[in-house]
Amino acid sequence: MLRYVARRLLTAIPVLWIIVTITFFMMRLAPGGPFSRERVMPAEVQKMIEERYHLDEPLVKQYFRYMGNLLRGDLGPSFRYKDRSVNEIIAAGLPTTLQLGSLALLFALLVGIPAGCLAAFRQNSAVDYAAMSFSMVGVSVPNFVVLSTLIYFFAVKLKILTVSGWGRWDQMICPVVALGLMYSAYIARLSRAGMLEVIRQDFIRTARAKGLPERLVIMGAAILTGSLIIETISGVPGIGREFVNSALNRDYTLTIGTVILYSGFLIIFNLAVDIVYAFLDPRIVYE
Amino acid sequence: MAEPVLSVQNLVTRFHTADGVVRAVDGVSFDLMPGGSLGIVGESGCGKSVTHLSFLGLIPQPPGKIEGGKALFKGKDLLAMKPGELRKVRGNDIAVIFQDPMTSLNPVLKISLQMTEGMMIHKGASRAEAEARALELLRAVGIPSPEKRFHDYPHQFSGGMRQRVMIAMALMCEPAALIADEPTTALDVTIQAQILELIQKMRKETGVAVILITHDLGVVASVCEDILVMYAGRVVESAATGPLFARPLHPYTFSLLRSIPRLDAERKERLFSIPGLPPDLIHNPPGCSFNPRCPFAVKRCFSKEPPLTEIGPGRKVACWVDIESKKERAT
Ligand SMILES: Nc1ncnc2c1ncn2[C@@H]1O[C@H](COP(=O)(O)OP(=O)(O)OP(=O)(O)O)[C@@H](O)[C@H]1O
Ligand SMILES: [Mg+2]
Repeated sequence: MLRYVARRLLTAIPVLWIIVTITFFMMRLAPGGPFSRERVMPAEVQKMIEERYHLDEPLVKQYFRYMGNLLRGDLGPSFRYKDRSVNEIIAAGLPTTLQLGSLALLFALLVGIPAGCLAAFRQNSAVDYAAMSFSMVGVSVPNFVVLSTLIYFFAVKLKILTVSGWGRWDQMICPVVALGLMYSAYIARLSRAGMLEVIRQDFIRTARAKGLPERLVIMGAAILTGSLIIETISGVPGIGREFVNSALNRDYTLTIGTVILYSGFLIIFNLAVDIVYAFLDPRIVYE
Repeated sequence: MAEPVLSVQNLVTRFHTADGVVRAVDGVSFDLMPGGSLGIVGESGCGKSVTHLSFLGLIPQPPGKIEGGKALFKGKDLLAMKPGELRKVRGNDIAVIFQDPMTSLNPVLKISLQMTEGMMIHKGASRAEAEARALELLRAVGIPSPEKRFHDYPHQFSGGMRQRVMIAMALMCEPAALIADEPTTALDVTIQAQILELIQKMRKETGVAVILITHDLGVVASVCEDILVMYAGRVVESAATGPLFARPLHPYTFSLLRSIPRLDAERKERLFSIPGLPPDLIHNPPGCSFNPRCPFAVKRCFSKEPPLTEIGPGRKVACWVDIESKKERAT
């Protein structure tokens, strides 16, 4: 298992390198640059800025300069936010994003899996229809709408939560729920489908024929369903996607920095998913 | 005479589907004696599985519905029991082995857990007690060095071994009755014989009464004392094994026997197969449901369903015709 993890991490290096290279050149090839605006700048100013950011050098030279810095862990200066490096920007935003992302995912799992399993076991009942309509709403309503609605009721009207900010629980609930609701709707649908597939299998009948209480029958099914869900959960979109906004700003270095971070997350997340998967399903063996 | 462990009387089970009402089990009755062995034979889809799944409370409801009858286990009607009571009978007093050992065990749980959980729940046994019993049974069913295999997962066993595990698992709580629903269908022929032998051996050793469900008359012949032949949701003939093989009374049984390959048959003869298909159980034409395929059918067979009638000691048949004289029976 350890060797498997080591091998996966090693193969991640060329993957990251390819991602960085492609992003680097794609950004430069796209028309427009970080300093092209409607307002025409004096030629000297333009030249000075380009020199400062090495934009006047040949592309290949820029590339090697960037890769050299990257190997030392320096993601370069931001083109957009003067006097701030990409490392600083990411370091400032990352903890919050990570907290928000993981809390939302936790919320989503805690709500989505039980809801999906219950819906499957009471297929075509009122519980099932309620859970599935609710998840339909969850999937289709954008989360900023959910967020403003939550804030309106709980912070503005009832005054039990705080309108904005981050750090205290009364500030965190609204954004976590708003983001988590969408994931949970996804996960509920996944779990329901997975569970329905599992409870049709013969061993569920065996479990009932053994006279096991329904609770244990469900648990036996849930473990396998869990591995089905884990298998697909890596497809849940949006984790860390908010990083990529900077692409629109033509902030070359910030974009590549966030892309690297995002890809790193995905690689580690997928690896974690595969490990959990092997843990849940004994038929999966990595070597 | 001893009381039967299980007495099923006029069981009727239907499935209310979008296509119509499926009359899966239509008035089935039988008695299973303590330590006895009863074979239930019939083509695929004739209601063999639904029969036992019904009185064990294992059919999906809806669409399934048990619409009549009784199933007395030691005098108590299983069909009248609350789900909780019936659950205490399942696996504890009546155990089931299913057809496909590859899919009948939970792939993500160890054999040790799957074998012991029933006994811990039904008998309140400790883990250690249950594991000791499980190991003893695994040895009895012929798993070599069970201590080593005990904590393995199902996929680490072969099909035949898994079916042995299933048998051991079924016997954990010392049930009074064991229902084996096509326990050998999914296995290689050589393994089939071993599994049947094992069921026989366990029956002799533990005194458990066995219901063996199969579509193969050859299988029941070697294992069962009594045979029930089912066709289209009904019992068409019941008898002790010897007399049934020597002198089948129902045209369907007669045809089934003719379609068993025989070692002493002439080589040039083609193996007999029953013409036509079993009826679907939704659109029941009037009369006997075997009439389209029956070589002996007379006019009455197309208008009136023959009831299961006792026509000799221990012999019941549902047919208007005496197939030996080819004459209609006097009623
Ligand atoms: N859940 C269900 N919904 C609708 N019809 C069903 C359902 N389960 C079984 N049936 C019908 O009940 C009839 C009897 O099925 P059953 O499984 O008892 O057959 P069987 O004799 O055990 O056949 P096999 O040898 O293939 O196991 C079949 O016609 C089947 O289509
Ligand atoms: Mg069956």
